Amino acid sequence: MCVLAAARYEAKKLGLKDSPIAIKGKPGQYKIQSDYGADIKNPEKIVHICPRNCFDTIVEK
Amino acid sequence: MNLEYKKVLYIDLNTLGYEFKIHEDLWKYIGGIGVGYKLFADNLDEKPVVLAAGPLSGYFPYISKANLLYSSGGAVEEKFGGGTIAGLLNMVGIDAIVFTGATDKFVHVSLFNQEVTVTTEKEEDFERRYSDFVLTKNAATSQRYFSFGNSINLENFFTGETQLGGGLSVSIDSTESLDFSDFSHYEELYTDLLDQYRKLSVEPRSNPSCLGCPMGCDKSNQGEDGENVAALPRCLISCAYAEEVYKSIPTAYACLNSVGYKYHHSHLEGLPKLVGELKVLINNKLRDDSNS
Repeated sequence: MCVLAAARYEAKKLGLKDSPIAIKGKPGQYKIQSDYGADIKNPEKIVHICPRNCFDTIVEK
Repeated sequence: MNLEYKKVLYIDLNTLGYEFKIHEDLWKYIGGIGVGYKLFADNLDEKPVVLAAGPLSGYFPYISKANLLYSSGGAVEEKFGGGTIAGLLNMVGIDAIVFTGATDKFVHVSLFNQEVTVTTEKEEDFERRYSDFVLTKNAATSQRYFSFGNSINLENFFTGETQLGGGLSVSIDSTESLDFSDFSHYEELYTDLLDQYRKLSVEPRSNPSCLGCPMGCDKSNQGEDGENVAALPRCLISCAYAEEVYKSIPTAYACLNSVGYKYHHSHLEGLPKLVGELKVLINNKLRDDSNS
């Protein structure tokens, strides 16, 4: 859900290809991979959509 | 996602050959069991195994299931399973895969942007794969976790003498993205449907979730054996446990319309009859064949 949400909010696209994050692994052992260079503009929406609270938002001052 | 036709991948397990076919005539069957039954009927003489996704698979919450059809004991068997296969098939632009023939080997089908590679591999390599779809004579799963149900019998499909007798796995490595025609309308609809999780007949849990579903329910690894679900959700293909959400024609119409499909209400209203007629036709033919 987070990969699709990231594609929707960041690239205005429907699909996995244009998402700045990706999920790798197998059921029960998933890893989230984020593009190093991606500037994610709507982190709150992506954090909010995850039912498992996998994400946290860190604000750098 | 194909808005004006259905794209079907045919794989012959005898020769390991494959071909794509564009079917404009399948458009009216929407997807899922509609498309699956029509393909099954058209290829009935070859006793096919048909795997079909829905037109919205992966794009809306709780629309996460794929449909597997095969014949067993003179009747057509209908199985549903979640995981990643339905969403990825739809996103790669393939509406269904029709497998024909039989094999005693372990066959791996790799799809990368509709480039197809069909290879054979050793049994130990097959058993290590967590592919998007894995089929053996007694089990069908996605990622070896999300089950298509119990009592699967594909003895005629996998003919080897080892315990497994052969196997089939499908991996999808890349998908296409769709541009929105109206992002805000889609987003509004998506959020509204996501908020309807209380209508589901399963509780949210912390198990692995199917693609596009937030529930992580206790049923995600069990399939949908014994569930009696209306034709429309079965064509979309929503999870059986989300039937309450997607059995409404206005909801289905709005979802299809928001991503660009031009179906009318009359198409959705006529679906139960279309699917019912196909099912009767197939079962009559299979019964006649087994009696003769």
